[in-house]
Amino acid sequence: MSTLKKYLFPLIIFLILMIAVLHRSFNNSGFRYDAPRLAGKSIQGANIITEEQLLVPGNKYLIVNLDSLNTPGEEFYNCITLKVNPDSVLHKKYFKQIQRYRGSVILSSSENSKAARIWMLLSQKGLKQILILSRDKDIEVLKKEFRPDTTSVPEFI
Amino acid sequence: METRRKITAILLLVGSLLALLPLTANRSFIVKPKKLLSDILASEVSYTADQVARFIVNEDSTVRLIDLRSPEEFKKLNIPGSVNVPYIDFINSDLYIYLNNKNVRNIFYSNDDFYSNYALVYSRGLGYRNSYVMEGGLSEWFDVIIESKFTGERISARENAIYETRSKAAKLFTQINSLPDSLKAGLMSSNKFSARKLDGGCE
Amino acid sequence: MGPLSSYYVFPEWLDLLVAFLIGTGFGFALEQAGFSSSRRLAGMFYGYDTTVIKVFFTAAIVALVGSQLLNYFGLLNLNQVYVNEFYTGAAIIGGVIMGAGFIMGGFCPGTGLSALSIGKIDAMVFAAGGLLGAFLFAETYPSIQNLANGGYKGAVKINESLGISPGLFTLLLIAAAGLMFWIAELAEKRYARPDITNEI
Repeated sequence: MSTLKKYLFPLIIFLILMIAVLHRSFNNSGFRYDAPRLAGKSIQGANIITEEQLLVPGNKYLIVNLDSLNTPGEEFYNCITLKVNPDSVLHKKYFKQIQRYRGSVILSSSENSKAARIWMLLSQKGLKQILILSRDKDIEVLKKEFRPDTTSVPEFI
Repeated sequence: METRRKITAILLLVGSLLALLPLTANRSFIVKPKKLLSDILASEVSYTADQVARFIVNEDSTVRLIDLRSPEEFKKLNIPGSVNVPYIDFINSDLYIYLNNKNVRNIFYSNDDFYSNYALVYSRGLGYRNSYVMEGGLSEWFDVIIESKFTGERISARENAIYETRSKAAKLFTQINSLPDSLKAGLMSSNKFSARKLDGGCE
Repeated sequence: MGPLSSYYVFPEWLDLLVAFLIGTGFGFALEQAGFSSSRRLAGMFYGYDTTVIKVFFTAAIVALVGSQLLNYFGLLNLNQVYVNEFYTGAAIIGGVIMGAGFIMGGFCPGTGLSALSIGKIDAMVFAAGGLLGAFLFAETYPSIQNLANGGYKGAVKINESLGISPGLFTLLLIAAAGLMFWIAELAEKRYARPDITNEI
């Protein structure tokens, strides 16, 4: 007891710091720690799923359709579909449904940009099971051919 | 003696706390989720290929194009004036190196929409509000700028301006990307990011 | 978020003013710790006075702990803080020369200037010697250039070379410091020189 009294001041300083550190650890504006680690899956395309992979029997997915409520989405026989407006994806009702789903959650949209943005946002909130549905087998591959023209040269050369 | 013991105790306790902490805490998103969501869904964060073409033709120095593809793809083909930061490096680096100039709008592009939009959310989440994307990436650039042709009967003044800009941008794109590798390499090296030297030391 | 110089371009006069204020504070701290006395500084080598290691090491640890906490709370970006580049040969040879000079002169460059400011004659001679050494270095640089620039390792941090986290390294360093201070106290008892220490 007397030792505790003697070292009361250091303990108080330590407790204040510990509270500050715990507050900082659990309150990253609602995002989880280490952004690069959470974004890691996007580097090699491990967060992409194609329609063919979706139809493989045995898995049951939750498809989150991000297109407008008037646009009919595709239905897959082995998936539950949830229509969510992108700006409502953080609403408690939808977010909890996505968070608690036991299995992979697929983001589907006619615009890859929308799905990609929502994927990054949800991944940074710590949701690990989110994938993006891609209609193309190969993503980030340029399918256009460039025909060089060596006859004209830029003026500054 | 008592003061020394107390100071030692404080330092040991705080040292133990630090040993348990991950010390890269400033690598988490700092913007609140709802604010970030509304930012990334706003139309202001995207530029069309036409708008980017106008920036290039007008040599707009307040805009910087960042190509997130691999160095090989960048060497083969790129939008004139852009700098290459492969996506893998972008995610694993301190973004301060690339995005610290608040006076410049950084517009990301890749072949498609994935990397550029990931980078948009990633950078904005870390507090860099000067991040934008070019919609559709290089695929859209080819469709709109390189390959589009006017097919109507009459062209309005506005359409004429658009097609003229597209034509100039396409010409510049073709000229730069048709250069022999030696000349291209010289141009590209002048566009590289140079890590800003840290203040300090004796030199 | 710091460091401030990474985010703002300060005018030269402000840089110099800040340097002046920091230098004044540093000199004041050295003087009030008794580091203007060459006997106290030489005592570190002979063992009768180990104040130097206690003060400097404690200052280093407080700075280390403080900067890491600031980094954790997002107030300082440690990746933007300058780290000295390490040249192996130069560090070893320069360290030996500096150590020998420290013991012979009883001052190091910082404490020498601190003692000079209170008018000590030995500090004046020491400062003159230091300037002579700098002049000789500059004049002989072409022939010692290879040695000065050899063994370049870059801006390495100890925890990175050891492959441990910065926090764990801090804890180990604090523990090492505690052990060193305890040994220093033992040395002071063993090598006590009441005739010298009474005069400081």
